Amino acid sequence: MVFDIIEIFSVLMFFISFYGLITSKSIIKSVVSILLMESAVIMFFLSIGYTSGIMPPIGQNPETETVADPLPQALMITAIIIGVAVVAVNLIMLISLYRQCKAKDWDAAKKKSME
Amino acid sequence: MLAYFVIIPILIAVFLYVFPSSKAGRLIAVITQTALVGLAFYLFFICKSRDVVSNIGNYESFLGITLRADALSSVFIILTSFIFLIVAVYTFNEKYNGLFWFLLFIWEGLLIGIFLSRDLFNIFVLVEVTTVAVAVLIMFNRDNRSMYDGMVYLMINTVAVQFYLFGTGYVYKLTGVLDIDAAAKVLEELDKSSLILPYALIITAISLKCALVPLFSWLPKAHGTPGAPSAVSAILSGLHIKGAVYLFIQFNDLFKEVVVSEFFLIIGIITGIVGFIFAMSQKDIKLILAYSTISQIGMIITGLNNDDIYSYTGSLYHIFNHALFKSALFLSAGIIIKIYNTRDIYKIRGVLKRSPLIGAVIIMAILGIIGTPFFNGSVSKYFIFSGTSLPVGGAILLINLGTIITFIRFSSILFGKPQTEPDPAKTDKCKQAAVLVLGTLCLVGGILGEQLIEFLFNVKVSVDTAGYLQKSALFTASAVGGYLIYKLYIKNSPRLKQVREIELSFRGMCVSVGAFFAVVLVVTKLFA
Amino acid sequence: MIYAFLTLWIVGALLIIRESKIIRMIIYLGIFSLISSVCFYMFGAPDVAIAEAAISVFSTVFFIVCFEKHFGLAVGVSDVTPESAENRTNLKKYIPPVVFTIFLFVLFIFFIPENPANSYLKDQYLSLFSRDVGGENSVTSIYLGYRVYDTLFEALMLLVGIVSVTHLSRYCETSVKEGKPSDINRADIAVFTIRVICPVMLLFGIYLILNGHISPGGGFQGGAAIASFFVCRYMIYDIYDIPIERIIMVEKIIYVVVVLLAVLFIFIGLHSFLPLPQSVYLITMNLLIGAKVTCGLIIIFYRFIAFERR
Repeated sequence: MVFDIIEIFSVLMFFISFYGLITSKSIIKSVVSILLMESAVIMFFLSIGYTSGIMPPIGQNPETETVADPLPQALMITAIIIGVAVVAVNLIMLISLYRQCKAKDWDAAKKKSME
Repeated sequence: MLAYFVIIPILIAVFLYVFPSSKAGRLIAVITQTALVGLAFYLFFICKSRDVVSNIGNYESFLGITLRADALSSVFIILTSFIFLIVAVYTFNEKYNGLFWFLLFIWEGLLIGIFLSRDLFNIFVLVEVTTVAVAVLIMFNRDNRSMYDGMVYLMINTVAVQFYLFGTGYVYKLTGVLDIDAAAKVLEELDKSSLILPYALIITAISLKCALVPLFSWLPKAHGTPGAPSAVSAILSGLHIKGAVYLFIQFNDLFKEVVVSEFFLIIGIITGIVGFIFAMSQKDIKLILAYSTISQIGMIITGLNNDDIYSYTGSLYHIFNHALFKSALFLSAGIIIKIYNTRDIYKIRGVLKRSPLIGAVIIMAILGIIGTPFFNGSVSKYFIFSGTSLPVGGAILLINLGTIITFIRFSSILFGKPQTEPDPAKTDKCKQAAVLVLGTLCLVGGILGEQLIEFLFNVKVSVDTAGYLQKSALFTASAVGGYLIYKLYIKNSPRLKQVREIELSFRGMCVSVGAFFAVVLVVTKLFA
Repeated sequence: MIYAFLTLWIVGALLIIRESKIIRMIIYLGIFSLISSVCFYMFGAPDVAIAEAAISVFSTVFFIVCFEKHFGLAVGVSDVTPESAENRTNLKKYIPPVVFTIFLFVLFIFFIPENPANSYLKDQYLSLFSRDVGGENSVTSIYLGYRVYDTLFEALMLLVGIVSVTHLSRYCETSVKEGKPSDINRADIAVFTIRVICPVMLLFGIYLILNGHISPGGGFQGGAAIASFFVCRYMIYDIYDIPIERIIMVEKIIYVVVVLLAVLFIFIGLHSFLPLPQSVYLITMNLLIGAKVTCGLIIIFYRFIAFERR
């Protein structure tokens, strides 16, 4: 097995947040875990093609070897905006659910919503 | 320019948000919708001879985003625009605010975008926006139940999409491109073992979107939640899930080196069986229809993965048919729920007497879904069946038997005397017209089945007299068997209640996503 | 160096996952975003770093506002109901999920492809972007030029997010508490700091938008910075004088304009006929997107606050 050490960090983060998802009783923590998961994927995209001493892709004719890949960066700005919109919608749902059912955790929410 | 197919509905959506309540606004929406159906047919006729490709911005060598319409995606576009036209007519007189129309038309644009897009990241963006829009439509009425259901739907789909995005990252790393066609060329030359991880990541997400076993728990919540407008449920069940099936076809094509189709054949069969077991145990009519969707998706996936042109074509035609009869059933269920003010299958009685037209539509749709000769379901199911070998064919017959039992139980709402006195609500002409069109198309799709398959999918198929006889005999046997099983075992069984109460929590769903991912990895490593 | 920050990043995530008190979780989340932002910068991605820094301010603020209003932010408030909090001490229950996660992690690492990154598109973009789209920041030219189709949906996502927040928060309009002052206790030092920072933020946001095509930044980042100016303004003065309904309308109109502009310039290719320099298109798009993001985040923020007050 040969791979970049740098991408192991993102994979590790991905599964830490997965652990958060499969253990969390509270809805809030599930929302936070999804946020962490997005962060892991963003870090993975940016680490594609990483070499030490990498430069930002700015300037008219940059040297291609030491310059970071601009495409993942453009994609990840999109992903960040999408992430914040999803968090906002999730939170507003969370508040509404809490106000209607007084439920902070999944089990209680499930029970209350079936009534 | 293909991008206009996506942009026009979105601009209509914004227009309707700004002028929500005016009747003229909705009239314009319906007219543009009709025009869009026309455009879709025009596109389809062009695509019969050649693929339509449009590079946005005319940047060469995969720098920009490519949209492509081929014979398959143009059929899906016709289906999308047609179902949305029907739903627009159906909701024409409803008192929804601008937000509903806004999200509805955005949804249409995004679905068409998914069918056209050839860019991996673009598909991610489209899927994510669709998920949020649908979640809001599900909880449109803001009652407790639909709040919870919508939240589970949004969150589990967001998790799945993260898996997809991670897989996209690996595809980009391996190939250096994001275009599906360009990536396919590069992936062909790579070592098989390096494809397994991106494939498993992406297909886990798509399987969740398709609601395969064991990732289907969100579907009945989303499709069957009582608070959602029935128009939304109809589109979700009839059309939205077909977007996932389309992506399933696309990605199995992209990773064709490592696809283990036997695995998905088995998963499809299990999905079909589990789906009808749950469907026949429910008592909420919307939930029955939602679980029945899982069962039908299982059948479609089975047909797609069975290595035979007849099964494949049958599955594609079944996607088309399922959209017709499932939308018809959901829309009529919406009317019935409004008339009787309950969703309990034991309390609704005598629909046929009270509103004969709706009853007739339901009968036509049921005859379609259980595969009666001369109705559309029979044609597609026969083709799926005829391409299979013995064990798979038996499973298909079993799934159909389950569907028959489910809908014999469902049809009990048609007969008998109404127990609760239905309130004499005024019937809506637009709604009746919409469901009547769908019901009639179920019959037309059966009688002209072979011609339609040739017209839509360019596959020449023929059924001889012996085939017809065999088909009718099999159907009659299943129908009689199903009726007997229903009367003897199912009708008053205490097991129904037990099955009804099985339900995964959000944590359970996440665990099943992880487990499915692991299984796909191992199976692909061992058998590909 | 980067490994140290990545390790900190992982530690931050572990702290968040293990934490059960809401207030600490939010603080850790803020620190976590800061560390991610630094890591992004070290990967040679200043654009993403600015975006993460500006946007994560908003997710943290959303969390704070959301919990301050509804759950209470006192130190002891847990993220679950008391009954389920009691079961947490049982360590045996954590063994199966830990084992399952580690199993998945090892399996994943076992399958990671060994191939080096393919740099086909990177080379193409770096050599062609100033000819095709113009500008000096290749990231901006990608998301406003080559992939503007994505950007349209990204803006649409913000729009959908806004209408859904507006729709779902309307539920509580009955519980009106007119003129109730916010119960955030403001320390003088905080007010003073915010007063000093506010104009700088506004200026920085405008700088990011106007120079998005030649230096790191752009419409999204600048828009978020300007919107955080409004958040600070609320923090000092606690006034609710933003005409939300009008801003919602303006936001829709800007979206339509963005779509039409993208269609005209990129889809139809108008820039090849007009004698304008290409940077005009980039600056206009950045300005419009910046205005749209500002409006959007302001609306979401004020809806979170107004959930109870209107």
